[in-house]
Amino acid sequence: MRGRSLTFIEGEVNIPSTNCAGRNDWNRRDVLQSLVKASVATVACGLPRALPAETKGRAKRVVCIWLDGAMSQLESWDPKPGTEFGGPFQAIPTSVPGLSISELMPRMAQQMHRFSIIRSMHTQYEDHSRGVIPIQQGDPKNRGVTYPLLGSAVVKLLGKEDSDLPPYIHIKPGSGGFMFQDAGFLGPKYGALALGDGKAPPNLVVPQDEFKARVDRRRQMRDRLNSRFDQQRLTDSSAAYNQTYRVAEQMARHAELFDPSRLRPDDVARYGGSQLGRHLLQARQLIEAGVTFVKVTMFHWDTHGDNFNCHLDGVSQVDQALAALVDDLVVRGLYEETLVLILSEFGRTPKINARVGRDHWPECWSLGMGGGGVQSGGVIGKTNDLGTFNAHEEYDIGHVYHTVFRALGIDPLLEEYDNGGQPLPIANEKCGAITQLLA
Amino acid sequence: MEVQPQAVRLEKSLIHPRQLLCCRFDADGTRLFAAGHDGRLYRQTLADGQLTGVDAHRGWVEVMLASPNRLLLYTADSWGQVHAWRATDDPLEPAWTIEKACATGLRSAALSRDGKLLATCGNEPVVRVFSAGNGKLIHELRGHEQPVFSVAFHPDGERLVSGDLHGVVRDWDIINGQCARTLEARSLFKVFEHYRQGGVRAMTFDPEGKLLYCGGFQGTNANQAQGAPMVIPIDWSTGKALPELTPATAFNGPLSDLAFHPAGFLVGAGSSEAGGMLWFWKPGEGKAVHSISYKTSLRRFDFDPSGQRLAVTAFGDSNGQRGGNGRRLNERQQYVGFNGEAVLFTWQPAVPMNPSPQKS
Repeated sequence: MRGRSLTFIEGEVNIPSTNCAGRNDWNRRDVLQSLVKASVATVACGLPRALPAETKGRAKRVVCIWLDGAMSQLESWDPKPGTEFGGPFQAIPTSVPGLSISELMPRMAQQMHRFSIIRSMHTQYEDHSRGVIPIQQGDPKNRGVTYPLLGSAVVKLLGKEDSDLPPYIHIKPGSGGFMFQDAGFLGPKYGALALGDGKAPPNLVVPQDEFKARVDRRRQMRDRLNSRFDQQRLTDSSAAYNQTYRVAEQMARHAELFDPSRLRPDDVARYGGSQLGRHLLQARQLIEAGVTFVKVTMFHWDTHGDNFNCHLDGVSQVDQALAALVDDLVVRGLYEETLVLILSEFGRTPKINARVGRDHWPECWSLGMGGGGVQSGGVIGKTNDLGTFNAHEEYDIGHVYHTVFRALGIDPLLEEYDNGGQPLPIANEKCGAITQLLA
Repeated sequence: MEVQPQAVRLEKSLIHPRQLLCCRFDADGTRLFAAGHDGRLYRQTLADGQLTGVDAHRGWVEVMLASPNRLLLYTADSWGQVHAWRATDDPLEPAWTIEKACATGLRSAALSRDGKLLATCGNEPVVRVFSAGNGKLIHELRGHEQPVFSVAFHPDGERLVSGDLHGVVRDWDIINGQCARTLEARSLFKVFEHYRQGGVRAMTFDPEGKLLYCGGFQGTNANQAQGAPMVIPIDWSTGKALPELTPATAFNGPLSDLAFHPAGFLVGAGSSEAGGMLWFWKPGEGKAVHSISYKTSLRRFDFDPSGQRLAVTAFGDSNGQRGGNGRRLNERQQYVGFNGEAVLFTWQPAVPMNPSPQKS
């Protein structure tokens, strides 16, 4: 991996023309029409039919780390030490020559030849209530439907919904349960199984012996009744109910994967011993076992006050846990097949407020991406010297969605959802993939 | 002149280009040194406000200390660099420098009462003691398990205390560099899911060295630095914590500095979303006997040599900016940061207004 060189260090990128919102002028329908014309012309000439676009994505699974509340780009991926808004921390060199990140991330600094950063995110929402869900949906155009969150979308588009394990698992602090709302119009089948505090729901042990036979008979009867009911009166709620049973059965067959008490102490220590560390260690185990999409949420990043003490603590936890995850995936030969994504709903203001805090800043912020389907050791985009605005090209979350899909071998320009006969684009058609980031 | 806490009043505010963190009066109390985010060391004449400055540091200047006669000045930045300055030099130039007093994130420093020792601490579990005369390292004190937030010398000059994120206070024997005992101010520390909030953010001894005061706050959430400020007195002879000192009225933010006024009362400074506050506690009283608010957050302060003035650095913006989400540009469509203030409070009586001219 280390030897793979990139030419886009420090943000000289080359995407087709973008408007002021950072979105491309062409749309999905235009591209589809042009591709159809091109392929017709190709066949007519008697030549082999050309692939319409490069779709050699290699990632098969995703670990998505969601830092809820918004981590500061200036205390993580895009430090500006010694400048007006740079804060008290320094930058440190990384394993990629010429690339520095915050001193709060010394372990990731040693992994940067395996990871990439987009430093020129520019998104549309500056408050949590409006931003959290649209960002996780890829901010699609409003068509009056509820789009799925990324995990549900990936499971649907990769066709992994009927796997032996719940394909979409969300490890989060607090309560767990079945989060069918994540799936939006895709339906509860694509919802997330949430492990609250990393724990499986109670009573997961499968009854044995003669009692098991009774349970099986009950399930068969329930399935028959459900089948009859569903033919006439299936609703999202009842579908979610049925899906919950199926998920519970899947989990029961792999109970050991959902028991955080079985994590090895030395592994927990390598991941930092923090809550995030334990959850990312669980994520690694779930990915190893074949789960398609694991989302890990860490709360409390909304540092309007005491930003630097909070980031000293929080970023240090992220650093150790993320670096251990990358390392483990590499050692196990899974990194090339696993896309690792770490992001928030926006960044934090350059301006340091009167409570030594930073506020919400969608104008320019950073996210990290590495592993399967994407380049390593690169930096996409660049902010100005003060870190206040993007210096050149900027990218919306729609671009990231396109890029993630492409990294997974899904072409957002060709594939679309079928919402009961209504065709819907899988990613914002005003955006495109950040091709420089793709492997 | 006897100084009563209740007699304090706002004198004036001195505007600086950038947010300030620390300040010290000069030897005769006519000029104020101040520094903060921009790494410059400012010297300002209080009578006419004339301001000069030199580039001094690369990181934030977190701490400023003055020798007992105020002829030497020490500044320390968040990147770990310490400079010693002769306060009367013009222009100011460092007399000597410690390039790396702290491996990462220097937070605080203290000077022994005789001015011979300088201690530093930061985002590592290590306290370092240097000669304040030449910057030579004397002790590297290890024993904390968390970042060390504050340090203070005992008035007897033989002991140094250091307080960490978890509210653990180490009592160090300066002669042999050993930890003599461990004290506790753990109620200044809270855990919210993954965030560790609080820490011993300021410490000071009473003039006789009988009580150690540890200041901070009791956090009520994970990431906003909200919660009531609190000072924990510790009986130095027994090591036991005594009943806490609190503000007389509700306040929602951390205490950022703590020092004894020469007249014998304790002063604390703090910051919150609503602005800053100075609290005044008399010995033996748990509630502050007086407090005075300011429009923006207050950080570190100093008394002038006469004890008649207090200067405190303000972290907010004198133009009324309060922060906020998103792109907030000024009338020229520029994105500008906060400026800073050095705010002067005084115990001197107000100058009477000129009598109205007599009608002829």
